[in-house]
Amino acid sequence: MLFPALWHAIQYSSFGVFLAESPWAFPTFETIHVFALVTVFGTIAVMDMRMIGLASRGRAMTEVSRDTLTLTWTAFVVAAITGTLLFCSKAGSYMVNPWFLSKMSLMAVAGLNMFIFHFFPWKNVKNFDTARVIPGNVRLAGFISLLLWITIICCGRMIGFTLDKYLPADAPGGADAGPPAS
Amino acid sequence: MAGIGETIFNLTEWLRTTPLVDFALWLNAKPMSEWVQSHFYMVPILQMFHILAIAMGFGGVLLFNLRLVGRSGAGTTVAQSAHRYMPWMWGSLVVLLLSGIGMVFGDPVRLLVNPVFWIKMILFVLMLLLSIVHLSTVSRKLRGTANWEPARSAGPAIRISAYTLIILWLCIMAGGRFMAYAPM
Repeated sequence: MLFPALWHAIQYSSFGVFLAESPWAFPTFETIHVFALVTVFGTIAVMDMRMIGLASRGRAMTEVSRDTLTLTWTAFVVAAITGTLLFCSKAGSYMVNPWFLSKMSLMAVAGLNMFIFHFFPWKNVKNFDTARVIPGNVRLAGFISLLLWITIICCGRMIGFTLDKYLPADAPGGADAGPPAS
Repeated sequence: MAGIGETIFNLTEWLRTTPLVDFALWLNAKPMSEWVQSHFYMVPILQMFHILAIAMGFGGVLLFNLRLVGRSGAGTTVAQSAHRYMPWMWGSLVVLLLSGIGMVFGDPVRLLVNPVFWIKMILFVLMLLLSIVHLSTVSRKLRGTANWEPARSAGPAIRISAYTLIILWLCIMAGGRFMAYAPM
């Protein structure tokens, strides 16, 4: 784990302790995180399915993009903020959780996929905006995005089931603390 | 906040005096329950289907109703928007019900003897009824005029029910999350 002292400091800061101990803070931010992530995925899937050619084929790609993009980005910002808050409640445990680390890595790949798509095929969108045949690289980008976001959501759900199974070295019962009591 | 917590606690105490406890225990002993509970990966998998279905259903509800009130979907008719998103909403409800039932089998006592679960179910039934009324109103209007545009001709009722549906979906999701934190 990189920067263990940093995650430790975040988790045991007064804010981190508040997030972990307050009876309402974690469930509330988690709920807002769910609102945001279903909006991100629900709208991204609409765009991806248009790019793949699975749905909305009667509409221009730029129109579908205009419908979804603001919602997707607004919801993504909300998900990132609430996700960071959830992370602060137990930063050390998140940083050693393979599902969390996979989720973050896959989000980076999804960002890269979007970046490449935006700067290459999308530059020529007028050529295929309403075309009956969608170029292969556009369909591929849509398919990769859809697959990545499904996997990201699944990894996210797994974090909740495994957060206490992977403990940082400095935690009670962690790798440095010897075998657990029971 | 304490008031809500106390009410939930009292409701839990009351639920414990109802035959629901026996029903949950009976369900818990069914082979289906034993099967879900003995396969540790089943509950996470059911939850993944559940949340992906929420996303697809809510995405459709959001985009369709925003089109209805004129805040999205420029260039499409209400009919085209309904045709695009409503099958996803109904389809997602089927997946939500099936995965939800699976999760109840996975933990009947904790879920059924839980007031937040029942608040969620009441909201779900309200959402279902409102969806039926809302969508049959829209399709009746569309049968009258194929290019019906509520922004021009409809009263506030259709806009209110559009926004109410979006809010109900959010409340149901909140119920789903807070269920896990209700006192036992």
